[in-house]
Amino acid sequence: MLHLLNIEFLKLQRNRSFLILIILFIVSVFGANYIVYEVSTNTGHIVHETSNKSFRLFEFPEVWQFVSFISSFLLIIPCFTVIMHTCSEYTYRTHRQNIIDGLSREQYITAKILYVVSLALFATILTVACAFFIGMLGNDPISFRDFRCVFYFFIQALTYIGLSFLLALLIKKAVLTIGIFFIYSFLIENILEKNLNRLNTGIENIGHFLPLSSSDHLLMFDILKTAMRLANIESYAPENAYLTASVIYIVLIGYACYYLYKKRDL
Amino acid sequence: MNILTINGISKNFGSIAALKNVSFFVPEGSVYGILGPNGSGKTTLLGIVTDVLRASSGAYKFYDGSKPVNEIRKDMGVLLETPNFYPYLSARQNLNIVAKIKGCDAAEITKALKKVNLIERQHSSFKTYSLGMKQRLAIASTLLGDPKIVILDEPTNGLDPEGISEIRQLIKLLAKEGKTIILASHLLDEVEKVCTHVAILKKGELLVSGDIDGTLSKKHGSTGENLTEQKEKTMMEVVSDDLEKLAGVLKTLNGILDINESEGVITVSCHTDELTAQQVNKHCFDNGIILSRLTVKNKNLESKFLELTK
Repeated sequence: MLHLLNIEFLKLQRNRSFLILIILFIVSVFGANYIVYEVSTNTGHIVHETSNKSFRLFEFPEVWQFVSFISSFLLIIPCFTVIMHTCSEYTYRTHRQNIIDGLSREQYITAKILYVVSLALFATILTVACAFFIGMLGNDPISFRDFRCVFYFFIQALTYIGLSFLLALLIKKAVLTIGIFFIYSFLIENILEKNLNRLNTGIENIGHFLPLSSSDHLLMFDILKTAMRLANIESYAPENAYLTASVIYIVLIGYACYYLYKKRDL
Repeated sequence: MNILTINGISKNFGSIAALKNVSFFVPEGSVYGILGPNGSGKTTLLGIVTDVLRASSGAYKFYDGSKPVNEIRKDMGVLLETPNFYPYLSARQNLNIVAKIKGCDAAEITKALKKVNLIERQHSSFKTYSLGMKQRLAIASTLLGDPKIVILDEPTNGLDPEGISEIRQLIKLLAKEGKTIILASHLLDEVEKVCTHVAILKKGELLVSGDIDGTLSKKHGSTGENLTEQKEKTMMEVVSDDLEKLAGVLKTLNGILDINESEGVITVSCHTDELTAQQVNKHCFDNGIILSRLTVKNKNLESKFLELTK
């Protein structure tokens, strides 16, 4: 396993676009959270004073929820690195060369899946570091009550990065894959979700259980959920339902990648 | 012992049948030439035995088939069509990946780079290499870990004459070291010069296979035509100051089958056992013509190849 991951690392060590995107991702996670932190601490005072109710987003333990939520919007960046890396192997035909040199197809795809998992883990660690850092800026004592949200973030990272990897395997062209992934995640799924929800299927909010939506809803933070519920805009299924759906999708995506690479001409 | 046994392999790309029920075996220590015009299925066949393509039907095995094929590929040097490397990595980094996959020592990398004269440019990235250098790096990668089996697909493609002759030397050297070599090519003299065995493909069908001497005189199965009945032919190129007179004189010589003149050279063909170069030379000399050039070309493989693939 480590041997396979090491080979992936050797491929990426001098890949400039990969390194730049990773640095960009690190900067964005800290940057985006900090900006929201700045804005909300300023407006937070107003909310605080007018409603006389604490508007807690960046204090322990709620910080785990909110930083995970903000960071999840930036997952598109590691997705890009996976798409670029996978498609460049097609372009330079090195995916064939690896097989010719002696990797089995199973080993090749396992190495790539390990890379996807490592990237998701890296994004999660980054989120933990960022949440911890911002939490420390507040006055409340360190608490791990909502730390499960970080795990949800990891699940979402796996779903997003996994799906982008599957699309890259299928489409083989980086620009096309990025375009389709972008349109799917920002447009198609949202449209589908809204329309599915309107259908009378017997299951409430069935649109929430689309591949990306289920993990999106996993990361909804409590204040937003309550607000939406109170305003009668939307209701939500229990977290465990979203979690189960996400895990099923992850397994399906992993299996699809594996099956696809094993069966097809390279 | 057979290194590779191919058993009834067919491959379809959509409605196109690239290979039709191909079977043959490659004995240990042979230099096996796979011949065929462009598009005859050579690369497809090599793609299947290196697991980058899936056969539609049929099977292949290395040795007795007990070892996983990817383990065997680690002990195999393969050059399929073009060199495939990570363009942003240097030669050494690229070979490092190959060495990691094959599980061979890092010291092998230096050895391989020296062998192909790339040691001075080992730290430049692959994308800065010339075509010849890229091909040489591919050969270095092929030789990495001292493989027992070497598969080369059009290895002289895109090389200059010096490079081509270097590759030929290398193939001979590898053969001498006892390696089994499978060489796909459409260049007949390339195969003729180095191979001990040959398989000829045409539009995905295997026409003949076996050791080179046997194959060339053997009965040709698929059409039932007997090649031994056609006597072996020799071609000679003759040149003198007066080509017209030379052509006239040659016509009077018994045993000449065909006379062609093009670009200042007269090419005659004859049955090998009926006419020798000496006889041609003497005949011309006796008729007052002094030849400025007389070259004997053994057109065996070529004429048979053209015959078969017509």
